[in-house]
Amino acid sequence: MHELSIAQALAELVRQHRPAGVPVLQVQVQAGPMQAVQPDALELAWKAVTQGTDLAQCRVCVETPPWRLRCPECGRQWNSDELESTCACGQSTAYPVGGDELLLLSMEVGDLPAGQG
Amino acid sequence: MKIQIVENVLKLNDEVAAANRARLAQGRVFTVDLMGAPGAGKTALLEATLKRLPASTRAAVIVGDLATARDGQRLQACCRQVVQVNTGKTCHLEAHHVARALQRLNLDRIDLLIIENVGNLICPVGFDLGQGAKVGLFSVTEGDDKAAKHPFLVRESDLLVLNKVDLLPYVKFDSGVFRRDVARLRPHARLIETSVTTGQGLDLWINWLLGCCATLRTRGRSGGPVAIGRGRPRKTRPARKDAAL
Ligand SMILES: Nc1nc2c(ncn2[C@@H]2O[C@H](COP(=O)(O)OP(=O)(O)O)[C@@H](O)[C@H]2O)c(=O)[nH]1
Ligand SMILES: [Mg+2]
Ligand SMILES: [Zn+2]
Repeated sequence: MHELSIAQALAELVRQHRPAGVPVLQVQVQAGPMQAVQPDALELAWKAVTQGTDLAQCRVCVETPPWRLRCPECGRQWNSDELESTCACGQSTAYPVGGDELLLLSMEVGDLPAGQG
Repeated sequence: MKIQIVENVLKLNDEVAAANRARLAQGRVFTVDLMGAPGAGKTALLEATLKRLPASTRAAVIVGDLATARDGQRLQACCRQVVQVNTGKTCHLEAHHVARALQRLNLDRIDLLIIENVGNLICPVGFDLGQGAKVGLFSVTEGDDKAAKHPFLVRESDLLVLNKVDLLPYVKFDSGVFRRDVARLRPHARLIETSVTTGQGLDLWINWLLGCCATLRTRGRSGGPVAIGRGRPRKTRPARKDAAL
């Protein structure tokens, strides 16, 4: 369950970036296929980590791009949901390019509560 | 209002890892992060290694487990500097675990530090500890599809070890399939086949370790960079810094 550790790290990072005083409504995360992150599991872990805290109202939105594969024979590149995928040229030894990113892309913040700021 | 960030989620871990790496470089300690499934033979390989290392290479071990001090106790029989870390609910070591463990070691008296990570093929991979090299340990009893099923571990490992080759006659394991999957994920990967039980391949493994230590010593003396391995290449795109819209 590395989603739990990722959720904890994410909460720390969000707190570092949030402007003081405003509520954080949503954070956008990108997890490449190498990371083997299950969006459902990360959402659940995020709830567990943030409940009862200043981030309890914040949702996490997880983007999981597909594999990017490259054929060593003809150089063609394509996207695939599976790591094992045969190239149009017949080669079946395509290797993944990148895919190991685990990024906090952005956060959506609300207005200052009335009477402040 | 949307705030663009684009930053590695594990940035805070990476910062602690960088501090670990600096401390280890200063102490001229070559550090290996040994990762593999529970039961692959991590502790057994370390026991055999510690018994065979030349006395001139002073070794220390940090061993991570969810619970119990059993591996630490096993290793204490062959090594004077052993730190056991219990991670509780965390299924891998993080840089702060290692930072705390380093406080209990005398780095000036260590040449080689081996970290036995928590038995797990997925979770430890993304967490930089400050090591000089990552080693992925598989064993033939796990099946020949495990490299393909754990691409991140294979891609991040500077060396792969395939253990328990003494059991090849008894299990269905096609070394060709395993090697092909490894080569596809990491084209120039080194793969060493070992059997802790018979001793096969242990000389190759130990020579690899000694070679890393020697490289660190000579580079350190010439004032060059002292980290071996790739540290951690981070694929974080240049952060569009806090561009508030
Ligand atoms: N046959 C055989 N058994 C091994 C070998 N290496 C380790 N083992 C056994 O595998 C089991 C698990 O080993 P251990 O070192 O505790 O694995 P760890 O969980 O990865 O630390 C033990 O019973 C070891 O004796 C090997 O090369 N061959
Ligand atoms: Mg062990
Ligand atoms: Zn092709």
